[in-house]
Amino acid sequence: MGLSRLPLVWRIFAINAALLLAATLLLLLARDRLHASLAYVEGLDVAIALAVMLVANFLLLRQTLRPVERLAERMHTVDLLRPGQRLAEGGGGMEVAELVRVFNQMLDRLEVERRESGRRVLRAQEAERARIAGHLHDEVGQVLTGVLLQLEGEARSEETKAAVRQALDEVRRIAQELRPEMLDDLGLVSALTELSRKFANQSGLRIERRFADDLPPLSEDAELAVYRVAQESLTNAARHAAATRVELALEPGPGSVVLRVVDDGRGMDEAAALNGHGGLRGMRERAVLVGGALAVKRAREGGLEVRLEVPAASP
Amino acid sequence: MGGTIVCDVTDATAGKSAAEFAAALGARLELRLVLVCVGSGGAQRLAAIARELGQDAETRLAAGGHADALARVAAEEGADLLVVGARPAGLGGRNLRWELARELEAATPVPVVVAPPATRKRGSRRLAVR
Repeated sequence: MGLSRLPLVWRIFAINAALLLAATLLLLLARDRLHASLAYVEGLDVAIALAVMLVANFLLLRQTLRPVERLAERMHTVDLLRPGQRLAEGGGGMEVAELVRVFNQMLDRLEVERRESGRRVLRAQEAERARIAGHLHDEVGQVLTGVLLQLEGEARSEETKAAVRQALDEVRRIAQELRPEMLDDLGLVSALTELSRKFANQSGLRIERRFADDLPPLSEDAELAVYRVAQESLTNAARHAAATRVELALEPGPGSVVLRVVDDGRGMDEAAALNGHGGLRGMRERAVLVGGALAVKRAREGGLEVRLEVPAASP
Repeated sequence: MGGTIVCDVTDATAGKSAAEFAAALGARLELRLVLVCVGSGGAQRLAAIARELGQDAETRLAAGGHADALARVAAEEGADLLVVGARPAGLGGRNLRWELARELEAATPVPVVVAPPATRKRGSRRLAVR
């Protein structure tokens, strides 16, 4: 049985014992050959032997336990929003290899569970948004429309009518933001066109659209992810980046669709973009859940670029 | 466009030859090229290399550990290939290359290519690098 198949504690013990034994034997052999007047040399011999023993012991133990250190490092840095981080299973002893294998399996399970639970949460969130949007549109909107009709005959109610119309528009806008019905009815390109048109009217941003004609089809979840990331990016450009112009593009990728939102604002620290806070983290989560990749980075001409690539629906 | 190459240009010497290799590969296969520099102060190097390549390379600055930062950018860019450079022969350079490649193996599922240094003699059927 090889040394690497022994339990860790026995392996360390065996290494240390072998070194001690070798050092003692060397010392005994050296004593027989030395003259009494050179006794001080024995002390030097012992010191050198001890130093050699310690160095060798340290090197061997470090090599043996290095995979455990790598495992600890990976445990500190692993991020389930960036799946696929695994440790190489070779090296170290039997227990260490087993530990790494079990750790990798645990990451497999965690990533699957995280993806499933995230998907369930997002679906529940979208369902709730759709329910609230329905109530706003069907109930609050109807009530306001009724009030508006009742006011039609009143001669002195122009200000009230204007206020009710404004409230009605606001209710419709909120309902539209909560649930983009156009996405279900007319598809992603129409929904993004409508979103950008309304956003430009409200915010004053100049939005340039570049949508390719030959986009491959996407799953419903992927379309929703693209729509929500575009929505969040436009909101960030208007609210936080002080941008005046935004380019919104949809391009075909290799078996995928790429969304690009590029603004001319003040940009952001790339380290902060890598860590991802708030809205960025939400966008990253949506990307991961549909098997996509999200990059937030400095645009070539300044400003910020958000790039989302999502896989096309399987035929 | 058929995919994305992410290329590490953090090391000044190795990064340049890696970028040239990645650019040649990207041009031949029609892949998007993203140059990455890990650590502060790499903006000028990124801009200089992108300018020298004279093609449509995108650039990224990243913070954190070398391998982890590269892995993060590769994941975010949806990379199909990660290219890292190698220094000319020498014990230090080899150790650096080995450590980075080993760490990348654990940090990312994206395939990693170690581009040879520009000084290394290669065969006549090599990939053309300007």
